[in-house]
Amino acid sequence: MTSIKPFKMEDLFHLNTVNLDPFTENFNPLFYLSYLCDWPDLFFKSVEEDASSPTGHQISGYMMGKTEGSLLKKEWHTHITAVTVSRNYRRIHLASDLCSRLENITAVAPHETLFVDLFVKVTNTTARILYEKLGYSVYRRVVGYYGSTYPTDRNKLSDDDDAFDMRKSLPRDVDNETVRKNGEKVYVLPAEVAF
Amino acid sequence: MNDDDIIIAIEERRFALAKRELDRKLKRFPTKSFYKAASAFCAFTMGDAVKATDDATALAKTIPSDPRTLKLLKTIFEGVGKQRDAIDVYANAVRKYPNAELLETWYDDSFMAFDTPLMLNSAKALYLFSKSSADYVSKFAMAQLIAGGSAEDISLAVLALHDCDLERDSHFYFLVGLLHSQLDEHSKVIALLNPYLPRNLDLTILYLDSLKKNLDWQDLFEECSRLIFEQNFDDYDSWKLLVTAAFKLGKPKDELASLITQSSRNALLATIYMNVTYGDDPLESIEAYYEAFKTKPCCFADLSAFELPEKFVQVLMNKRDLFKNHSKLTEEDIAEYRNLEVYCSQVKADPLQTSIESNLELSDFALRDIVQSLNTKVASPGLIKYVMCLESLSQKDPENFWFKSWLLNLYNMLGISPLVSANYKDLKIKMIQHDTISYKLSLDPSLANLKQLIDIYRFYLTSDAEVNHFLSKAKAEGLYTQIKDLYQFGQKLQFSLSKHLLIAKILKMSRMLNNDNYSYFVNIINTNKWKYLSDNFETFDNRDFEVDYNFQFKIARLELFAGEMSQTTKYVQLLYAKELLLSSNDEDLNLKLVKLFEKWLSQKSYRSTLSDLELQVLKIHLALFKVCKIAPTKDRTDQLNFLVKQLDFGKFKKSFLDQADPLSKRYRETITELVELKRNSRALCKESRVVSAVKQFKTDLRGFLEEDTPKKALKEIKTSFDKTHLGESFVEQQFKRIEDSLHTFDV
Ligand SMILES: CC(C)(COP(=O)(O)OP(=O)(O)OC[C@H]1O[C@@H](n2cnc3c(N)ncnc32)[C@H](O)[C@@H]1OP(=O)(O)O)[C@@H](O)C(=O)NCCC(=O)NCCS
Repeated sequence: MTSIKPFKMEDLFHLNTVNLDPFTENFNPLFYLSYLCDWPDLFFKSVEEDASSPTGHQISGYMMGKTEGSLLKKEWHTHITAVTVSRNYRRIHLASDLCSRLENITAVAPHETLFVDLFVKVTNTTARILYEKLGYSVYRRVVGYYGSTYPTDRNKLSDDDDAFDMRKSLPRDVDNETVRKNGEKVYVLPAEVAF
Repeated sequence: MNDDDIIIAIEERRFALAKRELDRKLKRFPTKSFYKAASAFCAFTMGDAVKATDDATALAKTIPSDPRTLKLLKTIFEGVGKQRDAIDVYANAVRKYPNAELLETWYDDSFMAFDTPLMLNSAKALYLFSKSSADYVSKFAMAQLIAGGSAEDISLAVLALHDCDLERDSHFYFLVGLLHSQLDEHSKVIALLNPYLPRNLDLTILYLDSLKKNLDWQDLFEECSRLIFEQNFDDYDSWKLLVTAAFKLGKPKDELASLITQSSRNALLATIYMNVTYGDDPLESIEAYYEAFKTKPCCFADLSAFELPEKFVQVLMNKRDLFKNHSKLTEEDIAEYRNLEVYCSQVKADPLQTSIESNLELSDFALRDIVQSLNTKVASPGLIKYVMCLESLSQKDPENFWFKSWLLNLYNMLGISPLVSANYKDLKIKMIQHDTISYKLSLDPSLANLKQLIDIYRFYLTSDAEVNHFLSKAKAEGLYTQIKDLYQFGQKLQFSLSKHLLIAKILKMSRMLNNDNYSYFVNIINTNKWKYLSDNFETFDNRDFEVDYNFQFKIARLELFAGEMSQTTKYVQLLYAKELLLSSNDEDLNLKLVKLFEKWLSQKSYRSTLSDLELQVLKIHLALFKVCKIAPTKDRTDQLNFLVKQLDFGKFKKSFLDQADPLSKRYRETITELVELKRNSRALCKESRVVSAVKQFKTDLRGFLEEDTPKKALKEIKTSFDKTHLGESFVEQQFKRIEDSLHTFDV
């Protein structure tokens, strides 16, 4: 019984069941604050009824997104910064629904972006399958994206450190120019993906 | 040096430089209030509260109007505990010189300091100063939104908003709508939001809520239909409102049912809700939901919202028996079986007994059994067995953080500080999570542990600045949908109980280790002492004591951290008073502090925050302070007699150590308290009778520690430990890890 609510800073005090997950990143308050102030409509949570909780519900997941890039360069897009779902509410298409909601909001005015993108660890097969089912495809492989040192050689691959930049084009990109086939074979360095 | 630099120099405790500059400035500008205030601020920061108060009071009497002066005066008065004077600083000035700059500073200061009553007052003063200013209207209305002033003020704000030329965006509509809603003017919210399209999530929720409160069932039904069926907003709250509205409108159930064509989880659940609302038998709809979601972890959490028919429960029980006795189960069967066990554990119907060797699919049950068995006291051999089980499960399923989190709890219960620290790190607890979970860090004094605590403290330093930045931004840009949340978040973080408990821990540890960081943290509490020690000092308890009981099936919370839970603001105040007395050589101050400390130790509300041991140790500290920190009192001899009698290791051993499991947090904390007591007594008291008592105390304590009881206890557990299930080498390895973590104390 999922309801959708706007994400609030105070939710951070009640997020441990979701955020203790080892694949889920915990950011500094600045990061959450900037998303809430700049893209309030693109940061929302799913909640479940829970009579035993003081708030009457528990948070089952959330989506943190933004829009950025130049339209002129065909880079105006929606970015999924984080999507995560509590272990207790997995495999019921909650993450898929959160992604679809973001997509639907930003596909139309006032956002009207060309595509949605996200970064996923090469080893996070679960997430990759999820996105593929939603129509995303790999656009390029960002070498050393999650590494501790800055990479200089775009051909030095490492499954643990590299990310796939995955994309799904939206209706505004009429000719599907923002996606491509065989993106797994296109290697770039992190500096080359800044918008 | 410019004026700002002087204040910075004072804050950074470069007093000689600041004073030199101030003397020069005061010679050139002897009447300028700012330099007088800065001079009082300098005295205040240096710890001379008397001079600071006198100078500030004299200056405040002249009712200065310079905003920077007022800010400093307010800080000083707050710092020395003169709350009334702090409030009057601005109130008097704006009465005498009502001007925009002054009013704005007053508002900004109280807003950023989360001083809600003053923020409301100053916002109203700003509005009354210039009713035509859109900016002031915005500030006035924002204050009502955040703090909900009187109905009169809220109405005034709404009226002002209607006439002002603020941009009519979704933030604006949210602000006006919410203020109407605070006044229970739901029809006005509806009239306001109805034409505003498209409505974002905040506005949608507010609109639906107003329709419901206004009993506007037809519009509610239509709006929910639009959201769910046209806009695909699959939101359970909206589904429920749709059903309620249909029922209230007297729509036949079949008509409503014919609309629900989806098979989403929410739709299936809404169908159950519909049957219950219409008073019909929900069995079929429950079965339909169950069939679709029986293998999903959410299954029984969802169904727990409804009373399940007897017939359905019987079917579940039969299925469970079938699974139980079946040797070959498919993956789907196992998932369903897990859920049935979840259900049984929720309704406490003959719960499955798991064992350490359970397979991974049912590992949650092993965890549940462990947690539930902790309801009654489990001695260290039992806890070690649980540790082994969870370490093994955690190795097999490293993504399941519940195992790690419970390992953290178990190591905590066993008092094995290095493994508490390691597990906390292993869980990758970061940022705001520290504020909610750092209470689990009961650590022995060591440089590495001190560093870990100080690193956590750094989070508070940076986050305060981050919140301030965005709060200013939200205020300036009129982000009304966010402002209340940001304000409350900032307030909760700034006045976080966890932060103060952390400071208290750092003070104790750094003092025991003679670490340089001690002076930095003493300065923090010294500068703010009267604020922290005042009766008005309040904190927010953001600690999460629930997280460990929320794995798929919620289970009742245990009293594992009962001690930590009773550590409230009053506990912090007691520890701060103790630290201030330990660090201060100012007899006047000490006298005030001793009186306060004595009063608190006699009050139930303060005593109840302490364990028996802490109370005993603090009572001895009180006697030490009376003898050593203030001028001799009449009862000095009594105090000395008390000290000699109480500084008896044998007594502590009998009352506390002999009662505690050698492998327990209680045992470990007792040792730490006693080591500290011995050190403080020795450092404070030079009276020969006390000195020899302390000497004996030390000898006895050292002798006791040399026996190394925890290691012996572990050895015994190891000898009788059944290694067959988990494998000899795994068990050996775990025992070695624990043994290596049991170090002795330096007395
Ligand atoms: C990845 C994650 C968000 C998926 O959430 P979710 O709500 O369970 O995902 P969905 O139910 O929408 O899954 C959609 C599809 O993805 C695939 N999928 C999702 N989780 C899977 C898993 N554990 N194993 C295999 N496939 C999986 C399935 O094909 C699934 O469809 P199906 O259930 O009909 O077979 C969740 O596991 C999570 O929060 N993980 C930790 C954080 C994380 O990794 N975030 C992504 C970072 S980019």
